[in-house]
Amino acid sequence: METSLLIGLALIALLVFLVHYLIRRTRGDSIYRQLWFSTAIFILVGVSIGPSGLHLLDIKDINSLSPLTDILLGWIGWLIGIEWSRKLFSLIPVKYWLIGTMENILSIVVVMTVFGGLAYLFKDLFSDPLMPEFLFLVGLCASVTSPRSIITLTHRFSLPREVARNFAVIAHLGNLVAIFFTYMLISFLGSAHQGVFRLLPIAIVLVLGILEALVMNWLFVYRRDTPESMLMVIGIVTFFAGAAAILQVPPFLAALMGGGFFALNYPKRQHQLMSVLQSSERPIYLMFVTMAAVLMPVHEPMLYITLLAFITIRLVAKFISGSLVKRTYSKLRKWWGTGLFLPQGALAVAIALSAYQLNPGYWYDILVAVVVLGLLINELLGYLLIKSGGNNGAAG
Amino acid sequence: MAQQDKTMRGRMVLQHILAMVVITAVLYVIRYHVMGSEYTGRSYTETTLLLGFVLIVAYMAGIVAAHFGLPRITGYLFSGILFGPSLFGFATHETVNQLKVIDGMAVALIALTAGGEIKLDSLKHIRKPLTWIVAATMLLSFLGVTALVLIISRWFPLFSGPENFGQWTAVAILLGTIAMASSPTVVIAVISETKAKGEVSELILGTTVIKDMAVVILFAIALSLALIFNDPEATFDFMKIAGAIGEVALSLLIGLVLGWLLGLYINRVGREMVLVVLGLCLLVAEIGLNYHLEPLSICLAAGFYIENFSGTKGDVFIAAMKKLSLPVFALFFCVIGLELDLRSLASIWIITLVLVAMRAVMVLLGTIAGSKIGNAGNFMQQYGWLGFISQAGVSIGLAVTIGRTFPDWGAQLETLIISMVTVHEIIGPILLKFALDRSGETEAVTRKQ
Repeated sequence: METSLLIGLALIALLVFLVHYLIRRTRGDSIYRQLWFSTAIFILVGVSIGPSGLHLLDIKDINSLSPLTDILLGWIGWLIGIEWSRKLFSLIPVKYWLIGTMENILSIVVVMTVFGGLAYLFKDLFSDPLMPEFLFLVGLCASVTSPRSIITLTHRFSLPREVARNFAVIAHLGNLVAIFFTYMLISFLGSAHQGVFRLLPIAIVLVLGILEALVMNWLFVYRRDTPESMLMVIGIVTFFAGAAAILQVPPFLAALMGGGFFALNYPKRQHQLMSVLQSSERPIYLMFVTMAAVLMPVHEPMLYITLLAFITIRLVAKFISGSLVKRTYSKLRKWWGTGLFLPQGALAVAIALSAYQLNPGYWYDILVAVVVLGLLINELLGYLLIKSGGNNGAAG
Repeated sequence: MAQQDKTMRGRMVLQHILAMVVITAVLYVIRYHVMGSEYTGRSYTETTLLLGFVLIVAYMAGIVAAHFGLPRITGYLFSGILFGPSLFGFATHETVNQLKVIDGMAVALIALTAGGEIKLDSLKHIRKPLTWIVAATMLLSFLGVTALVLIISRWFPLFSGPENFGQWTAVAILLGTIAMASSPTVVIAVISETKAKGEVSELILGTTVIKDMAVVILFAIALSLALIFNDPEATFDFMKIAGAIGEVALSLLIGLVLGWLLGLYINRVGREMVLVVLGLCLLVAEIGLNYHLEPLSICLAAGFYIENFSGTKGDVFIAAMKKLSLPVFALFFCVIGLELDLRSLASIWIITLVLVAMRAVMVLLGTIAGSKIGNAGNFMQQYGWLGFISQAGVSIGLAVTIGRTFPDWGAQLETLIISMVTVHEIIGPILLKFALDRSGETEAVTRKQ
């Protein structure tokens, strides 16, 4: 790590002081607003210390950030995977599985088709040899939704509990589909521009994930206190993130597999481990978003054009898929479905970053930036749409 | 019940062994079969892999050490020694250099914790014994080791290089000065781990902290004197001493300002503390590196200010520190273990042990004398000296300076000092825990009572 990197990282933390001071000064009642603002400011901090901003970090520094990015991606992977539950999956009716799958595929298809059309119109710009894979990736990133944001939004607007449950479950299932497709995608992206499907990356991810889960389980059984567990979890996540990076598979997917395998096979310890992972969730998420923001090419006009296209097309896609989900709750007000499905979380950024790691290039760089900025805009749009649709649960 | 416990323990051991086998196998396959000759230990991904390995091994070694009643940091140190370049060689010198970046940050965090442990009220209460113990241990360690080196070198040169009495005097003064230092990082790590509370832990922590700052200034004086003894034509460099005093004073001042800022943050915001503490430590490490200031003194002062002058919300800060402390301790001491060069110790172990023994005796006498004059309790008189044996980062840093300053014999003296520090680093934490246990100040002992 270089000098400027250390200063940059220190700035990230120290600017939080200013951020929260500003947040306190702004009018607003909800924690929701505070969370939104702090994410926004961390993105700004990331951009400002990156090559596009004050240039505190140069390309060498960004390369040296890659282990940290790998570790953070590993942590996010575990956080997502550990939420899987065999019991919950078995309780979900088939109808929900179908809707979740269709909702996700529908979003992917809509986004992919429209972006594909744009790519066809501007052939000179989109000259990546892996264009179909890239378009599929854009669709994947657009399709994922944050179940946690759904809970936060329904709580904020006092929407019926049934809405929260239905939408969160469907979003969760939709994300599972997206994760499955991401595993498929890495086999193409890791094939050195040959566009050939290879089983080896998937096999490596599976083996690493299972080994990671086994080691975690063996060491976690007789855990003592939280700091000790934290040490062990950091060690395991770091080790396997490094192993995945050396073996040229995304650390995020290996960790996600590990988290999922652990959750499905050792449910007794699932919540204990979850509490350890979640105790650092917020700092990890903020660091993760900041790291992603560091890469952001803010001076590129194409970023804003793509962002606009991404947000608009995704809005259309989620309007269609939101209408589909309306079937699970008949009293749903207009725009609620779209509004609830708009917010995105770390999963979208993790998918984009994982693809970027395998195939770094102009468009992948743009996509990471679009998804990071999209987090904020989609969160805000979702909030505004629900607000416009009615402000309390007495609807219908 | 006993049978059930035994079965559980057996299963635990088995599962830990299995985990160890799996991660070692993964590391082995990656290093020798996947990477092969491409492995350099220099790339970032290799460092990530080894960092994870080091943390897992440290975690397990810590448990094993605790099982045998030893401090966890001894386990961390041994795991570093075991897999470092001296023994198994899983981590190369390049990897160790990459991991050393963490050193500065870890020292800052440990010092912040140490500063937070120093309470103004108890400082007033122990002021007298503290002053006397600091004075007596430093004076006697210096005199004892300096005299021993001067006497021995008349009949049996410690190493080749110095050619006359003047040069041996320079060596003696420098060794005597290094002998005065103790390690606050080891002390705070063991006190945090054992949750020790009482007069002995307060006095040991206070003494090591003051000694650490004093040694930086005294070393500048010793270095100037040594230069004169080494080369009679050289002149006494007052600027160097003024510079050292300025370094410590400025570090403390910056620390107080940072403490004030952090206090403001804790009271007005109080959120994202982990990130803020981490960022602050990185910033301090960076300031130390670029501006020749002491990260340890900066963070000690910052921690001290927060604990004593920043109001009632210190709990938020302490909670954030606790969240970070164990992984940081593990990593820090494991990296120290990786750095320890057992080969140099093997070649000069006799003279190393003689010097270590002399220093220990002088520290013992100094502690007894200081405790008696300062009216410290009986436990301090009996066991306090064991807390001053450990040495770490500062001593190594000073040794490196010696190596650079005296081209004729500096390198040999540097090796000797590092060998002494190696022994002190290994036995220091064990002795300190023993002292705290015997004084009845550790949580485990208090609970038993």
